[in-house]
Amino acid sequence: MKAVLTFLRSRRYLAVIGFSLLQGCSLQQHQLNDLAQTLDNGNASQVLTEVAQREYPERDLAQYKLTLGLLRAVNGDFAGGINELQAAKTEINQLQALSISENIGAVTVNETLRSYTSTASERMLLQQLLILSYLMEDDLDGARVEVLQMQELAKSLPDSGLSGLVSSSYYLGGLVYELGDETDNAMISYRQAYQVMQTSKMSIPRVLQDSLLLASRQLGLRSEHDKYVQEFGHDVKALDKSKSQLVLVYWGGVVSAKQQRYLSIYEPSLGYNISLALPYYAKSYVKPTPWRFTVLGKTAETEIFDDVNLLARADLDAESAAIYAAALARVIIKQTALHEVQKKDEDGLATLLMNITTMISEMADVRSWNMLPASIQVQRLTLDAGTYYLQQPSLTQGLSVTDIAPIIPVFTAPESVAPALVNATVSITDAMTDHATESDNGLSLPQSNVAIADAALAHEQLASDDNNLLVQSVSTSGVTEQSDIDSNKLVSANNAEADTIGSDTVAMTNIGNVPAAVTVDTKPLLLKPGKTVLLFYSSAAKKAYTPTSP
Amino acid sequence: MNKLFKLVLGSILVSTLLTGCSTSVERIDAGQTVDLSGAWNDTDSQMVAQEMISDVLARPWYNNFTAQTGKSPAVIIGAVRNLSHEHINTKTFVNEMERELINSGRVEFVASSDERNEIREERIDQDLNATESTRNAAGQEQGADFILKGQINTIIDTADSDQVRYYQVDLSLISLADNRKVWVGQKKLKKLVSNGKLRY
Repeated sequence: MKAVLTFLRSRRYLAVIGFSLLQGCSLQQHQLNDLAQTLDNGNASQVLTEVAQREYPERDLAQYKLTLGLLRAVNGDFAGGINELQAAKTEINQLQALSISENIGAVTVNETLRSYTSTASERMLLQQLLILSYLMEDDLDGARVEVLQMQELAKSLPDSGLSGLVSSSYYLGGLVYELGDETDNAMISYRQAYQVMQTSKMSIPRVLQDSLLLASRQLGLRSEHDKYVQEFGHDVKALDKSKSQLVLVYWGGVVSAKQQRYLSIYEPSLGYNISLALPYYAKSYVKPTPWRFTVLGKTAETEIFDDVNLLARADLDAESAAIYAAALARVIIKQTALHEVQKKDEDGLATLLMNITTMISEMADVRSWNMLPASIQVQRLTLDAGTYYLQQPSLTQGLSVTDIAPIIPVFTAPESVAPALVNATVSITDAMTDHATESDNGLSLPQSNVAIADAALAHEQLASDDNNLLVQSVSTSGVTEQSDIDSNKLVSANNAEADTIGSDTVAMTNIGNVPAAVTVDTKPLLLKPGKTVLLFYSSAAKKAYTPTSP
Repeated sequence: MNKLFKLVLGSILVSTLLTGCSTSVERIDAGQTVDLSGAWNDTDSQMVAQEMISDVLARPWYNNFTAQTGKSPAVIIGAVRNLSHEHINTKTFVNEMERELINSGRVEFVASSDERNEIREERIDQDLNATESTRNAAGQEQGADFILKGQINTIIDTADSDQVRYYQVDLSLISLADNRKVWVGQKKLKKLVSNGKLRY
């Protein structure tokens, strides 16, 4: 009893309370990491609601703003996302100066007492998300500002290692310049993306190969163009001004969270524990695979630009020297403090409590921008100019770009209603279909237009034989030049091989009993001749977005 | 005495800390220069606008036009693109120029594209709802003689925590009749920004 009273009088309990609060912060971080992992299920709106209601310590402001900004953006609130991300950037910039108090805290208590300042790759990805967000807001100049800032940021990246080498950010930088008709600047950015991928020992995606070939050709960089032709084994033709480009940027999965490796050893000769906690990433993680989507009924797939899990591990490697140095200093300081307490401690209670305190207070900094995607992938398609529609993924189908206006039938006579179709055409490079593999978000692919047409026809035949067959042509287009389609070619809908989609497939159906009222549930995507439109898809929200007025 | 000293010292410390945390607001003159981050600010915007205006009105294009046509030139503001490293609100800078030029009484300004659309909608509304005596007819708009376009560019040079920021604002006045550039204005700004290496 006397010992307890002595302890209370010494006010050492305040230290215990303080350390318990710190433990609470750590718990909060682990909860945030758990929440991030649920993003894989496509429930970004739910996670946004939860994160927006959370309280956070002032030193985690940058991390909180980054998280909130990302969640707002992937939920389609790009303006809100920009506000949060710009606030995060301002905070990060202000924290670049070395903090005296935070360093003292880090070497005496633990690393979580430092303000969160983000890693090199996170800063590059912050720029990328801002570029995407400004493009989605149809603000090309705003996106260009972010590209310039990204290029300034890149100058401060570590000289060695993969930390901060985000090739997709450079590629998007090139795209922004391209959209502004600045081919010379675009070429520089594409070159940077290429150099980053070479440093990372990644195979150069066809998308980047084509951009390098095209830009070097346009600029008349003969020797460089020849070098690329030799290296990539192919050349590209000049873009057909009558066609449009669709660039799909895919953010897939969720990056793995940092974990804590905690070590506490009781040393009998000293009479107390030596504790150490360090952050780490699990060695194994799911490697990114190309993501599949459907364009005009045919499967296409994205190409991997960045494995964010790899970048996160490279960031930690780059910071490890400083983390280990602080950890070593912390161990020495804590053991010295324990030794001093032990010398004046008669009954051993103070040593015991101090020992517990040092054990509890020792924790690794597992903070990160933990809601980033696991991979960033890109695909670029050439389509005929025209009106297209996005069919957002559902439980039964993945993302689909179609030229069929989505129709919600009004069931005036349920038994006689069939899906109404307009002429649908499909074409895509054989290379794409040959290389199609299982998508990484586990979505099944949508029905092809022809399959829908068959279903409609079957339904029609059951419902009525009196209706007239009509074909309404909306748009016919080919994804690439090799496979353009004759828009007027009609193919019998009951063709047994209709499901085997060729480059000249045309769907036809009976729309004699189309419902009286129809609703187009998605905004049409207008692809103008010679223009490029960006499509951003995040698996966290399972939704694709296009700029406000492409 | 010792206890009293500790109490006073503690109070001073706490109040000092609390003062440091509280928000303070001080009204300052709109023309006063306050540089906080080193980024483009209101002072830069005003400085560039004023210099551009004095330059544009002093050049021969104005007298040439008035001598040829006998009227003041009508100008429309085109796009002033921000191609810099910062998000700069070019509208404040353009509005400043527009205000000074209109108030000079020597130049007439035609409403911008967005403004015109709004006005046309209002005119359509008048057609439906206003009395005939107060109604404004369509097709009576004044066409502009010149369009003012431009861009802001930057070059940033960084070493450690020091940064040189170079801003170049280029504006040009183009004749809508024959695409001639009748005036080109340029203003350069250079700033040395030193960021602190340490913080509390």
